[in-house]
Amino acid sequence: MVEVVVSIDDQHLQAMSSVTDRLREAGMEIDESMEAIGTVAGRIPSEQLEEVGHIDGVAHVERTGTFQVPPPDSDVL
Amino acid sequence: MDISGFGGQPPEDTPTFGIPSLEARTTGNLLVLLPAQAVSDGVAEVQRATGIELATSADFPRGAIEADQLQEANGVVFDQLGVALVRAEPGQARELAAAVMDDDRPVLGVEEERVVYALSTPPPGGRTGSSAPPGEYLRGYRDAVNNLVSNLAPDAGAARVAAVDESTTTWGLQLTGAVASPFSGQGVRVAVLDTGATPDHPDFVGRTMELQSFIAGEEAQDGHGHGTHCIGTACGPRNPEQLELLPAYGVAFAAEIYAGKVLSNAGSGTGGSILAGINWAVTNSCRVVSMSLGAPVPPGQTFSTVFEEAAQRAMTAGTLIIAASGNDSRRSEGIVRPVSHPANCPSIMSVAALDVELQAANFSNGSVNPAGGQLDIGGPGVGVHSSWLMPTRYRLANGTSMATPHVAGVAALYVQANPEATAGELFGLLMRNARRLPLSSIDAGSGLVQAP
Repeated sequence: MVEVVVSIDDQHLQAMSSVTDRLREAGMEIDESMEAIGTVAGRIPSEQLEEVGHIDGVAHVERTGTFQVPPPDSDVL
Repeated sequence: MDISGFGGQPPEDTPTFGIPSLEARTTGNLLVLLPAQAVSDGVAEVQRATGIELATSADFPRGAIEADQLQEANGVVFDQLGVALVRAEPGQARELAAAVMDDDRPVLGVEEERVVYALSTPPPGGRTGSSAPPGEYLRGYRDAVNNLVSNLAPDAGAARVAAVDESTTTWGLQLTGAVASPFSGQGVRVAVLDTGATPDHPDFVGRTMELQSFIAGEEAQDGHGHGTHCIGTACGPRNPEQLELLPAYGVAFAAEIYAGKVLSNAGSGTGGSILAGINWAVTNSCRVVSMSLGAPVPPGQTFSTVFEEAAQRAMTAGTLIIAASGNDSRRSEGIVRPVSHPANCPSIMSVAALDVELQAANFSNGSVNPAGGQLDIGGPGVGVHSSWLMPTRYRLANGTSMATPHVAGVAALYVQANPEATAGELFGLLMRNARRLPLSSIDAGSGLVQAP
């Protein structure tokens, strides 16, 4: 499974649930569907990555990145 | 008297080099500012005060007054601008000045019409005689070089910035103009997406704080310190009675705090948690989001389309996202690294760290990548005093993480001052009003953020 963030296209912003349904059918485990900014976060089987990109209503799919701030005692935070 | 400057020739002793002299030359005509909503009243007033009948641009095809008509008329009004150009005798000029002084009369201002020149670069090759560079140009060149030398030389004489007294307010509050600003962030919701908050910190007793965790298994209570420090800078109290100890350290001291925990107590988060925090902030009408977080971006890599689209949608909904440019650089060794993700998104304002001398901090990233990756603005990011976990209570910290909430706090002040501003206009207000510095825009963007 690959952690991904998905951007919904402008045309489907008001009908996100139809797109998330299709994402689930394609095997995506959805953690969060974010209506205000039109993005979805979750996991996809790596072999499904390309197919998910072609789903109607999906604008972009990216691997989720990680972020790290330094430990509290660091000189630069 | 010719109305020159509109198709006439400049006076004969114009320097042929193309650099205007320091003293503006005037034509003898006057420019009169009329009220934008009552141009015809203004026109009538000018005619009443001076007897001059104004030709109007509205009478001409495409509003273009013919040059010879300009020469013949004693005055014209550019009706789309609400500006009249008049050829006035001294008595008429005095009448116009009197009209300006009277608030009840629809004439807002008068100034002398100036001669303007095209700016041009000097001709290549040798110069002799009448086309030789005039003394003024050479003196200006010398002054610019001297200025450059004094800025670069380590023993440049007097310090660029007078020594700062931090007994009552931090240097960051002073140099951003937050101390002098009449604004407090009252009524503005500011979301700080970080390691959470310390709502029981003595400086925040009685301060309303909305808290939300986006980290599974962890509460919004800050277990790291980073979030507490950033919230302090963006929104900490200013009143000495609300502070355990001076100096005061908060920019938007009356803003409504929305603390989203998108980084764990160990300081880590994912794109999903960050986006969830942004979504929450937008849903709750936070006009400003402060994100002191980022992931390093290698040279040549472009920005995340998913984050860029999220940021655009946030802006459409009225939310401006402000993020740290990152601390991966080592300028003392000549290493400048690209602006981090997601600050490198065009629709996210990226913030550099400046020190008290208004130099770019050693670690502060720069505009390296051509596709996105622009550094937008600078904020105080070295030796920043703010709140920390209890019982430590306060600490000094360095980082673009510290510069970012300064900009976010100032953004909240602009929102209070301009409640109707869109997020795009807010971006513009911050950039336009930044204090320009003798630093490259690659290192400091538009300069040091300045409060309204």
